[in-house]
Amino acid sequence: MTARFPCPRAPVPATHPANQPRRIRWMAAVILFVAVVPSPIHAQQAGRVRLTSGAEIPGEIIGLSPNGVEVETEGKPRKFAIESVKEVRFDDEPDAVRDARGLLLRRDGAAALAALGRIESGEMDGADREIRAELAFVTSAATAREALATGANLVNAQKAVGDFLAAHPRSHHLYAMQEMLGDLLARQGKPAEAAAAYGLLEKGPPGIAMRAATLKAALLYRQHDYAEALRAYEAAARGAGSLPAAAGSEDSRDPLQRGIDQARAAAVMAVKRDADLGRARCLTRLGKTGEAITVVRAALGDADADDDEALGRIFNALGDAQRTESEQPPPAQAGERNRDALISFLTVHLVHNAAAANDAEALFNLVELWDRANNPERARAARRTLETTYPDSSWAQRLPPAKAP
Amino acid sequence: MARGLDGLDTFDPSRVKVAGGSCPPACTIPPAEPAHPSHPKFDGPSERFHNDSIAIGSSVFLPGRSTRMHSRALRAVVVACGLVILARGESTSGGESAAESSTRRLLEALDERQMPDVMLWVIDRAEADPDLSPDLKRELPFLRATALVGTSRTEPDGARRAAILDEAATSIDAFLAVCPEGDRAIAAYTQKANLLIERGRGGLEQAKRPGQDATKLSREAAAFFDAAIACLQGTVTPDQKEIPTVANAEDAVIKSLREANAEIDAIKATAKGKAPDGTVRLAPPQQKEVERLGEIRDGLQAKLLSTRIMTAATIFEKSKAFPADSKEARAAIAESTAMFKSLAEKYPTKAAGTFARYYWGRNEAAMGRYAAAVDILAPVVGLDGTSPLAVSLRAKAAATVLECWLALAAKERDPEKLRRTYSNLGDDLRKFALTPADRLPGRSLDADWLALKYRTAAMLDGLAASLDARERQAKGLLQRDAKKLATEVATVNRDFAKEARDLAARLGKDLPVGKDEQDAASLVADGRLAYAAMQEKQATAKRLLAEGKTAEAAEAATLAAADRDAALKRFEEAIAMAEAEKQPDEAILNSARSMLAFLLYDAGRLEEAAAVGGMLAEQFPNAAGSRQAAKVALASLQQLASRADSATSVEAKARLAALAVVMTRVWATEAEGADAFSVLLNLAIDAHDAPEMLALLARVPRESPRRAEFVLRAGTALRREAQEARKMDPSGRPDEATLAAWNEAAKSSIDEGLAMMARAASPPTGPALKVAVSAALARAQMALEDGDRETAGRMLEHESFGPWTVVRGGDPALAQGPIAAVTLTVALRHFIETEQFDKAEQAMGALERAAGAGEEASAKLTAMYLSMGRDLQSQLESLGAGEKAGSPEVRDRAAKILAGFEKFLAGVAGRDRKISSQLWVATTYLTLGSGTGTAGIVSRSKAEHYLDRAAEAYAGLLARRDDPQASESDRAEIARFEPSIRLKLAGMLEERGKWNEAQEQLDWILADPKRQNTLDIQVRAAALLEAAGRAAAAAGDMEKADTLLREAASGRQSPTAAIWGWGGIANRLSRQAFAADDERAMKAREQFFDARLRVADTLFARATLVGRADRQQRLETARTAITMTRKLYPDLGGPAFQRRFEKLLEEIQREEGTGATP
Repeated sequence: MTARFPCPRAPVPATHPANQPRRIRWMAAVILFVAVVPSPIHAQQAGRVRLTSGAEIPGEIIGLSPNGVEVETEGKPRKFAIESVKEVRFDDEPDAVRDARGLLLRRDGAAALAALGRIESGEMDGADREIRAELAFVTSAATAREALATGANLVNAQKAVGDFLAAHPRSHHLYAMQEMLGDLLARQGKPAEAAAAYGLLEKGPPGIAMRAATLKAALLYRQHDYAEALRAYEAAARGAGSLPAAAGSEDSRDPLQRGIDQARAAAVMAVKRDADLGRARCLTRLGKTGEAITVVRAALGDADADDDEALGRIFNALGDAQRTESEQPPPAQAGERNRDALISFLTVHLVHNAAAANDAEALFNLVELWDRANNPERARAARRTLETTYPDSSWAQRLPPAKAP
Repeated sequence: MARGLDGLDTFDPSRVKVAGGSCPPACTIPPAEPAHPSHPKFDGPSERFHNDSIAIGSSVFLPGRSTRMHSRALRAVVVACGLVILARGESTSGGESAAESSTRRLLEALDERQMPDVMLWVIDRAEADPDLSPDLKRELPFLRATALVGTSRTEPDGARRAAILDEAATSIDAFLAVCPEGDRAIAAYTQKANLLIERGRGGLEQAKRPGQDATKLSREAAAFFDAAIACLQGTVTPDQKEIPTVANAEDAVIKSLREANAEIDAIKATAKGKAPDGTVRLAPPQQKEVERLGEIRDGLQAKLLSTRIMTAATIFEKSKAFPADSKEARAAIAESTAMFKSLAEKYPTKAAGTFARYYWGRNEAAMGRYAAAVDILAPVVGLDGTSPLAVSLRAKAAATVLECWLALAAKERDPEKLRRTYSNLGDDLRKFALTPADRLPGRSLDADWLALKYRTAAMLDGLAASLDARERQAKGLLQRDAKKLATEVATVNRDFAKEARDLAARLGKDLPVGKDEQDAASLVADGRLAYAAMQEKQATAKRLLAEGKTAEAAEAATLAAADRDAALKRFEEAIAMAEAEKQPDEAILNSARSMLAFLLYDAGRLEEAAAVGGMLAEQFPNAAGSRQAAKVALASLQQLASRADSATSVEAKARLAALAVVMTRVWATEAEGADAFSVLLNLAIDAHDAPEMLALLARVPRESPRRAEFVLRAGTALRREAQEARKMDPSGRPDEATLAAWNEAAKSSIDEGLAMMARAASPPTGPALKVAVSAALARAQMALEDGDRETAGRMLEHESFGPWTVVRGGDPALAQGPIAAVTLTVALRHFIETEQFDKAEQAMGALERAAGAGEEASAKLTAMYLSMGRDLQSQLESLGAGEKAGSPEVRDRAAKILAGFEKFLAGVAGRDRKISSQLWVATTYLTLGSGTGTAGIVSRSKAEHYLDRAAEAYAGLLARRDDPQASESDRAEIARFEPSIRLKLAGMLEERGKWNEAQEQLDWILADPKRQNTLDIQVRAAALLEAAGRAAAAAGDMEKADTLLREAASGRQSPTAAIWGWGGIANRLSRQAFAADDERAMKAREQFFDARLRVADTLFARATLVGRADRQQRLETARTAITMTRKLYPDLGGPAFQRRFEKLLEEIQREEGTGATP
């Protein structure tokens, strides 16, 4: 399969919008190539791998590729599939880079860029190639994340991501950045190009490929084609559920291997959860709020109690369905349903508020729901919090003008 | 009481530093429970717990504390208790689901943010969740209690607040029933004790109010305190080995403490040796476990001490439930003091000992041993920590010491000694008292700080007064500080507010208020001061007026108005100042707005009052005072809406409706919402808007406190609308299905409302009874119309609100007037129909009594009989017009009704010669025979028979006028009735087509010039001429017809009588019809347009008489009559009249051959 791409290291063409699909196809070739080509890193780096299950494995990082990470720990090399890796940390990387990456994981691009601003001049002098690549990743990803949050500078962000992908085609961030490229294109109203960008993920490991299906379904949702999006999400959920890793592997005698297996399972579960939440959102838009609530409650039943980001999204989806349900007849039940929605969004705002996007969405909903609950004081407080904490978020921008007191 | 304290010898004294130590006491006390690892935010419940204990204890000392302050302290304890549970590791184990963990964390967060209302929603949902773990389910009652206590804080109504606290106590009992021991139980016992203390305090507060049964309330309060003590105080003795059952906080702590000690001892017993220092040598895991258990034990020890302090404080509190010098009060204080003293002396270096010392000193002060109290409290006043707890404890102690000094100064007569007493207030304490509120831990002044600041102000004032004239500068500085402190206390307007205002006012005369001292809060305080003065003067004015001292009362009222204007100015300034701030204090701002709304209303500035109150209702409905402000706005708009100025009234009505809608939304199930629903219903009733009434019925919540009254009023109004609509021209009235729906809604509403009234604990009285009686009467009428005699009887004779029962009950408000009249006629009808003739006779007798004995009595009685006759007629018409008209079932019903009447009328006519009875017989026969819509029910021959019976009865009456056998009074009465009898005869003759005879009767009536100006008679005369004219035309006598129709339109003059005709009637009505918009004018307007229409109609009839050569000219005249009316009055009297005019115009144009109306 890789033999058909003779020049994997050739530069990526310029990112003119008209050339996107062709460019994306070309990049697919790069990905497929690098996925199978051994990718020793420049020099062994001391560091640690954080898995999606929460486990951390310290050791020497001896291999990085789009499909996985290899670490020598306790004298033995260990391979980690990329979908089970949450973060790779290098002991020698500047604190600012590490902090910025942490903020990126919370989807806070602006804060990540601010953190990067703390890097002293000369701090990166003599840094290894991997650490320089890490800085490039964090910088371009933070730029993209901020653009996605605010809707501004999307073209520049797209260029930054494209440049990173061109310069680092064998990065372990490849799939994440490819997804971000798709997100940027979708945000600019280019669903076909975005779908092409996501399409490249389909060639990745099964968990990543399933992620692509979910992302494509999200594109349909964004275009208000809820029925089609629902079908796509359902297919993605079925696909994720059928992956062997979904069941996990509890029987390994090696605790580390057990942790690795759990991480892989958690990654697959995350993909399935995304698909389920997408299904719920579609069902809500289609007026099938009862079904939506059932789907979200099932996702909540499978969720990790410590995963604030995921729980934030789950409760937002639940609140969305309950809010929509409160707008449906009979009016006599509107008050109770409004309360249910309030409880869900308050759970996000007061408990699972680690991710800015989740909190902003919850606050946006609280503004109107408190108003409906005849509590304009709390509505105003929610509005104030949204406008001051997330002034650039799309949710803040969607707020209707405040009523004059 | 000084029993041994289990395990306290192991308490580490090095962890507590007081009186000059670097670390404040509270923060050194170890947590009572290890915090749950997933909830790091709540790692200090112990500090909260102790903090609360102090707060509770302090309130025992301070006189006049507000309930709100108590509840704040209470809430803090409850929060601590709740969080102890939430933070525990026991139930939040690692296996908890994400949903459950989220619920726990949400409840914590809501509690922190003081959102108890939402906590209750969450708890309700959790209780209904079948998947909830048993652990969390067990805790829910406890959490509910926490939330309920939170909601009680904002409940202004004392009774409702007490009910909420009772519900909270019930929740705790439910929790303790399944979990009587352990840490959660300890927290629950403590929480319950606090609730009971709160109830006791509430009772004592209530007992102070005028008009209350102070003895009873104090006795109840003592019982609450006893119950609280029982919740706290243990029964286990130190030598008691076993603790079989636990029923209080102290025993629960001791049991847990013993278990922890036993576990530690058990682990230590497994030790394999001793270290050189003598301690046992343990393996690392065992050592770790011993350390963990040690921490738990330390926490329990602290809890034990705080429980005992709380017990002693509650015993002191109980002393207030008895007269100050009573044996019981002295015994309680002595017991409390001994407990505090024991604790303070046994643990002098520990936090608990410091707390106990404060309470000990406070008790000594309460017993009047001021010097001893000052000595005892000195170390506490000397605390120099900056932690919230240290600052709070110091403030309490300092406030008590200041109280002691002031008490000593009050007794001192020697000026030098007095000055020395005042000088005890050193610079440190003065500076401490001057700490601004925003720098205090709670960023606000609590009761202790208010006491401290006020008493410092009093000390400074006293010291300034003791200085001589040469120390002017020092005096000025002292007074400045005193005024500043007094103003601060007055501004908060709680404890010591009155004393502080007096002091500030007194000092204000000596020292001008500097601009820099003015802020919104101080302006609000000044405004409240002026408001209080206004209230006093208003009360004086009222009293003087009651005493008949009009001039003095007027003078007091003028002074009150001046105070009101001063208060208004202050509040307006405060609002302007606060609104100009970047982040205004909304509590102060809204408090000022609420006061402003009321004062504007009092000043008659209704527009402004409505604007301010309306804004609060809409924008800040949950602020304190907003409900009151909303009511003020509602009252203002109601007054504006009732003004004669049409534009103002219309706009005010629209605003009134808008505000009421907001209030029904915000306070749907509360009293304010009920008021607003009532206002909306009134508007709908005034506007005859039946659809809106139906919409309101659908919206008013089941839980609305005035639902019964609302549904009864709405149902009665709907029935009236349905009745009125049936009288309308068919082209303008709603269709039958709509009217049936209105009637059905009316029935179900009235049935629901009356059922609620019947279920109520006590029968309705006053206005509520009037509403219920009116509704029952309407329902009885509806049942009669439906032939549902059982319901009609049940309604009329209901024991508490049945109209027949009530009217005969002797209540003058209901035994007279319109309700009585309608009740008796309806009852009469019902009793006749059901052949209960004895009761019918009673009803007739009651009707005669209700009519009275004056000159108007007979007229009134006739009117009442007519009313009954009309209802009967309407019922028969309705039967004749319904879907089943002509069916055997309907015929049978009608026959039964008529049979009853015939039988009864025949009986009365034969045996009762009273004029009133004969009149009734005649009138009823008349109504039975003259209905136009009863043809399907009353045959023509039968109708004529009834009319003959009526004519016979009337003729008999007229004959008695000249009958020498008749009494003089009868003859005089008949003479008085003659015009009305002749009018009725005219009607009957007209109905029988005897035009000339009918005209003779009318001519007789109109012969009297006084009666010529009676509109109804003129209308009857014009109608008779028109009917006679049309009859002549039908009989082929065109000349006669033309003459009669001309006279019907233009009038007729004869030597004895003047008939205006339709044109004359319209002319005479035109001014009155358009002079106003009231009911009278509207009625005149209707008659005016009817007359104008009939002018055109008679003109048209004349034009279409056979053989007229001037036909076209006459048609044009008729058309012009319509077009002219339209030109002068474009709306033509509304849609119904418009349609009638249009229809006539179309007919004219058809006759003219010009086609339809353009």
